[in-house]
Amino acid sequence: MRHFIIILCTLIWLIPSHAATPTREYTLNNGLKLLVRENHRSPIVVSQIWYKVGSAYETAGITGISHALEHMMFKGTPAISGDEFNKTIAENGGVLNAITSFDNTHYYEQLAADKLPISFKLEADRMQNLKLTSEDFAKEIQVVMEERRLRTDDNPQAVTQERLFAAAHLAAPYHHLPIGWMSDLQEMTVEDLRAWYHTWYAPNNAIIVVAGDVQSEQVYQLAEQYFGNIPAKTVPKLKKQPEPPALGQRSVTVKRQAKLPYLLLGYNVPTLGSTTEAWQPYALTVLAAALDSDQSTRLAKNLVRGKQLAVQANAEYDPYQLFSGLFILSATPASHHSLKEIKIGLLEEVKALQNDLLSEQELTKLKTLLTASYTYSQDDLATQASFLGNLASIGLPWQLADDYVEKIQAVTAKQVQQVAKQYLISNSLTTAELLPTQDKGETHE
Amino acid sequence: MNRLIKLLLSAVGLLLSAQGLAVDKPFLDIQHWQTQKGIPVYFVPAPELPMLDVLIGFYAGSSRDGKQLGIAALTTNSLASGTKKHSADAIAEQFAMVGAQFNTDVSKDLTIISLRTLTNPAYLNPAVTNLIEVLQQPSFAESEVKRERDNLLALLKYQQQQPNVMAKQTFDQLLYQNHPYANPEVGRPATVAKLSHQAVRQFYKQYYVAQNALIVMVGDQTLAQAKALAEQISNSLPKGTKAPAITAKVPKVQTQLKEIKFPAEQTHIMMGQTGIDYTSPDFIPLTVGNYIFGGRGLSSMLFQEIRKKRGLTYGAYSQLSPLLYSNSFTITLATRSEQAKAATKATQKLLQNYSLHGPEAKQLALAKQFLIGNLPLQLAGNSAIAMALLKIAAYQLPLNFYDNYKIGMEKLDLPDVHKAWQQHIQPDQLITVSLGHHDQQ
Repeated sequence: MRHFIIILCTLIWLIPSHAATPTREYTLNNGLKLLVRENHRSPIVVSQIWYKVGSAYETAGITGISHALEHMMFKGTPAISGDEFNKTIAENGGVLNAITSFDNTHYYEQLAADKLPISFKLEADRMQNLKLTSEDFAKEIQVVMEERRLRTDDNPQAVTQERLFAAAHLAAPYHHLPIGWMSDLQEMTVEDLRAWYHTWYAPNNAIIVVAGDVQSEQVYQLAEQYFGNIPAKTVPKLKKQPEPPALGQRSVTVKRQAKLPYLLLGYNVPTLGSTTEAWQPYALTVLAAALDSDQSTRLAKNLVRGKQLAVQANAEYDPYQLFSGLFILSATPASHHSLKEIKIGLLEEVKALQNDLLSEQELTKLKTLLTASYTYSQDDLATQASFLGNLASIGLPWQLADDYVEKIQAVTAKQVQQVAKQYLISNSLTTAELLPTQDKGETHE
Repeated sequence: MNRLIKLLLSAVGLLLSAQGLAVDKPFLDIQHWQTQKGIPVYFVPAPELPMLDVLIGFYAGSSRDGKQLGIAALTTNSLASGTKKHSADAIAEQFAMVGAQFNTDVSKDLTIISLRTLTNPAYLNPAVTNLIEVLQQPSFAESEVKRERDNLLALLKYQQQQPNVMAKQTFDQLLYQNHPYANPEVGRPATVAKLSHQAVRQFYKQYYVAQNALIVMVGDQTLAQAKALAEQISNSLPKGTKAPAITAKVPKVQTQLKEIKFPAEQTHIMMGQTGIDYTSPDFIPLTVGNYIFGGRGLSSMLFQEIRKKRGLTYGAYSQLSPLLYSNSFTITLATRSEQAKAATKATQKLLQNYSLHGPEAKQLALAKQFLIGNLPLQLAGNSAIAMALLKIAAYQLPLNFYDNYKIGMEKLDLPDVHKAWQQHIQPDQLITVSLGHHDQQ
């Protein structure tokens, strides 16, 4: 019963990946970046194309447009219809999909390794020639609204998460989630999407990541062949949009028909994209791990088992973001305890980490857990590719993927205490509560 | 809970498939043997990464709950809550200190205990020692079981917020009726509230035994190391007896519609009937037939009709779910409430037409190409291989299941698929569950 905060439209949690296999980087003349990670374990390949556009690029009134455009990217070009696109991948045994996040949108195909040219051909075509007809849009925006109902509106915890992000970000662009507000989806037009597509879909605003049983040089030649002639565009520069200073706690309440109350505490914190103090996001990563890695760490040990205040309690933080983000604590109280009691319990755990240094033993354990997870994540090619693509799409060196273990190992107990004291403070805190309302459910045949 | 395992066991029968490699070597190099106490072991060596997955399955799924619905789940959830030597905190600490991940899960057929660990002996050995202690000497103290029971009750409440879960539970009840597959995987609030630590001990004693177990291993171990490890696990369990076959009969499906009021903007619809077993000669043709009709992918007839043409849903798919003693065929979708009736009708009509006319030649060709070509992707990586092994072990499938699958698939023609579909799927005998605001329709 562990719930992840849904910040991506198709949920993928970026787990750090592998260091041993080499990665090669190329840049085409039109600015397209190519990263190739050879991995010869299985005769397969993961091909991803990352565009530097996501919900954080959107302004008021057009929220959700990056994600809506992602849906329309499957509707075809004059040369290759949407059906033809899907069929071509399927008849080659492949799978495909796309994910829109705060900071990026990426499309992927997974295929037998010798089928990589198919992916490149299709992606190069839809980078430039998307049809975007009003007929297709009229139906697809309905599908997007169904997706929003399914994943957000009919999920009381997801609604609470959405309201937390809105309350916690005043000026910073993580105010709205990738799915966008329903009212904006209702107002959206195909012209809005055309403009968005022509603004952001360009080779110099994209990164291709290929991982699997391939040869780097051959992949580079293929990329030249399929993408080399696509002209570069002038792409707008994203503004910094820093959060104004917090002047005090914020809180938001969600009243919905639900069976269980739910609490979220979100602290505004720096990320690797927003700070020049590069050690801090790693210290925050260890801090989150100290609270919640597995059954041995503090929230499970002290709040679920020890005081039995909660039936579940989690901590989450993603260091790999473009803008400053949230460090989130979440909990479902045990049946005889209130949201107020569980909030006090969570804050006491925060306080303990501010007051006392992690012991040598606990710090070692956390580093072992994070390092082991990193090793386990190498089992999945797509995870490795996504780690690289996400970094490159937010303007960070992809080499950080390989340096993960080293950076985690370098974190000291003092640094963990320092970020806890500096950032997990009441002025930076936003509280979101889900208060279940009366349930009138009944059954009849 | 381990979501991957859950997907395998309770959801899809679509882990099937075939391949696209030029050479006709077996898809999986499976080492298979029995421990001295008779536990079947399935092992695939994977030396590429310094890690190992061990899954221990017991035929102790929710179908073994009897009247104490939820006892299988409560037992496995309480397993790591302390042993004769160590507290729950100490057990958790011992796994964490070596970076090991311990998980448990319950499906209708199985309880699964899983360990993911590094293979450096300094990490592997303590992880295995801890695993064995948990398996062999759980104390199931009253206070610990009570806490796990409260957590399970909260999980049940959380499920009641999830329309898709409630639709599935209701559907299973209508399909399986008095058969134990009607039992929800984690019980019901009224029964869970009454479960005692003594009942947990009893369930553990009866089902967590060698004769009722299977072992799956994938990772960086030699055959000799794997054999020693399996023997060590096996020796920690009493011999016991295998859970008896479930002989209850699944009643013939009666066409019916059950509407449940649910506070949601969408109406969730699940419709279906009984499906097919892995061992049926029609398993492969029906699987291909299902892929064409509503398999996961953007090209299925259902997805095209309900999502692409009509914009009525985000997801729409059908699946075959073979279990040990029965099986189901289900269609799932969710749409805004005012469109629920229209979506249901369109789905029924699509199914009727498909049953009448069968697939077209080009649909069959595409399905075969996909299902055969996709196999190397499905069997890439330790997690994926472990899931495939677990299916082979749990359902006692031949070691060359995937190779046979590919061969069987290649031979299929249109009449094979259409005949199998007509024989097994009756579009006029559907159980339909609908959760939502029906007054808005």
